Amino acid sequence: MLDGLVQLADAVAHFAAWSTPFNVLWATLLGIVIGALPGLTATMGVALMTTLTYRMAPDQAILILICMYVGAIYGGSRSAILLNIPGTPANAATSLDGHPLAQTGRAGYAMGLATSASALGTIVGLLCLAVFAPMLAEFALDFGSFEFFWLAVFGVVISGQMTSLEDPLKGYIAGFLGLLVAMIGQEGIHAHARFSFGVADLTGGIGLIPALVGAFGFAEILTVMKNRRAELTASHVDRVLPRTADLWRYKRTVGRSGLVGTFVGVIPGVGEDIGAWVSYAAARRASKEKEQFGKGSMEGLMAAETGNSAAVPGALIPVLTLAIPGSAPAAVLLAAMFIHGVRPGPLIMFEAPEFVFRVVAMLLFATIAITVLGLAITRVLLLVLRVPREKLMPVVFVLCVIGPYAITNRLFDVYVMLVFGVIGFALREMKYPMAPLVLGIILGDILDKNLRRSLVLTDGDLGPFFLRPISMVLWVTTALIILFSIPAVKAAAGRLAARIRGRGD
Amino acid sequence: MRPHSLIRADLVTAAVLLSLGLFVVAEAWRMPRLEERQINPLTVPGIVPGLLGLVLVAMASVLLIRSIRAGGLRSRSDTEEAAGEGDGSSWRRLGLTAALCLAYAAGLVGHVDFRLATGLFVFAFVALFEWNPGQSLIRHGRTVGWAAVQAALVALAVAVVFQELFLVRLP
Repeated sequence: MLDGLVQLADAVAHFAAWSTPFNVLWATLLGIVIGALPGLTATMGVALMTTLTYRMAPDQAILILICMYVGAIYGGSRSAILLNIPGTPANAATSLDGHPLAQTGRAGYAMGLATSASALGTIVGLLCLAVFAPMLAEFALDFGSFEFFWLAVFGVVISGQMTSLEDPLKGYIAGFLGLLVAMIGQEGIHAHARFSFGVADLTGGIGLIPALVGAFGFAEILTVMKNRRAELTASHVDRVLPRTADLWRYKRTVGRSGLVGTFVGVIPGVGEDIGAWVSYAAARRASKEKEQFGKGSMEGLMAAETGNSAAVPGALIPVLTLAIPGSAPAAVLLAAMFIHGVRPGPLIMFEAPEFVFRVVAMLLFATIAITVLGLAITRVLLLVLRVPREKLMPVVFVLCVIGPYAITNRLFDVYVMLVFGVIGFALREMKYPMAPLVLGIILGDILDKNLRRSLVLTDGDLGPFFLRPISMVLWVTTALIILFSIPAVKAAAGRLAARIRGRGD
Repeated sequence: MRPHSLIRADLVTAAVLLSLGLFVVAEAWRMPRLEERQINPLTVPGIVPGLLGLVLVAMASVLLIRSIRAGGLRSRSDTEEAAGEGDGSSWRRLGLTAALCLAYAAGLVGHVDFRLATGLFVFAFVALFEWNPGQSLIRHGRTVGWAAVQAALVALAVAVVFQELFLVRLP
């Protein structure tokens, strides 16, 4: 415990430079603005910023990206409350109670509560990160090729399931499409160029950043321009600073939502939006004022915002310890870490233990920044939401063109962005989730290398794939998830459970 | 109950995915086995894409069967047809956005000076979307004028900020 605090103090001291507060403030503010503007998501913001900061010193670049991530997830609560449109998908649950509060003239107070909840959620999450990341990294040292293969399969399946609860098949399809995208280009064992069809640019594979800028930037621009224009609910704001009594009253909700959000964040490729929904559902189940949920409940608003913000540090836990992202923006952060020469994974506590605590410090700075900015510049952000989309979207698209080009200086990456934008828009219109696709692109290489390595190790014997203890847990869980997503099986299990309950009574 | 348009879209997507899956399997099968390098046959490059292709074929088949069972092959009724039309203006906005963005990114960028390309794109985007046919001539002039001002500002600002501040090379 004391050792952890010392390491955290060291990490904070590491950032003792004038550039730190400057970068923290502008990056968090930009993140809040990006999150607040419907159509601009955290994933797009972090992806674009990765391309623009890759010439900076690694620590400052990753600090900027984390501030952008935390700021964007929090910033989305503004439009959820004021426009009834979640600024990012993570704030969908926030609009359920935030918007009714705004309609009753309490927009300012709702924004203040959302700010406090986001800050508290991030703190719970970063504490969990500091405590559990070293433990998970140690546990992950037992992972061999078999386990990493199953972890990749499990990640795609659980992400597909949780981000598309109504129709898991579409989630799985999105995930496997991502895995197939990762197969394009030279493979990592024999350097054979797969699916390149003689095109030199395809030999290098599809870059994650251009694909993400397309799927989350260009696709969002198309969606925003297709939809109707949103109306601001409040033109002025009431008291913003939350009362201590209100925060104290919901301490249990904050604690529960923080832990639930962090846990959901840890699950590969699931992320903040599901973190918010699960926290919201848990808070409603436990609440004494259930009937208020959806009608302007402060507790509901706090649960949603605590849940999505706690999922941010949660999503970074597997990034640091397994090199597997917990959410789509975390996938970009993982790519950014590789670009900057940081090698996350099970060995991180041996190779660079200080980096884990530096990430905790970065999250702490971002939390302070969202609290200060969120409570201080409410009125300025109202003006930002008044910028017409017709003026904003062309500027965003210009950034979407510059971003992919910035890293490799290839027009090919601009075309990749366009193709993924159009495909992403079409898939989204047909209710396919994007997060499993992103996760698939990241996990494709891991799955490919580890499956082939394992087959060599066992000389084709499939036994160890199924019999090693951690592998067994992973494949059995994966199989159960798929099995219970089949409607007939789910219905049969429901009937069986009802019969058992009936006998018990 | 899913709307008929979504079921039909699922049917078409399933057919596309099925074709894609079969194509991937065929390509994976045709990939070199690298016998001349005497590699372990269990590490041939086509093994993982082939397996992924097979999984995609299986999932696309389930989607296809599900869509057919849900009535994806039936034609829509008149009421569904009317409901499916939706808001024509939203599709017009979508078409215009896509056309402008593709013309800029695939047509202008890389072939014309980036500042000029960006200025033209922003001007066309703002002017076309803010153009209201019912407005007076003065209003039209104001719309076009402001679009030109924004285009010039964005083109210049982007060039300065990204080249000088972020040291990024522009296309």
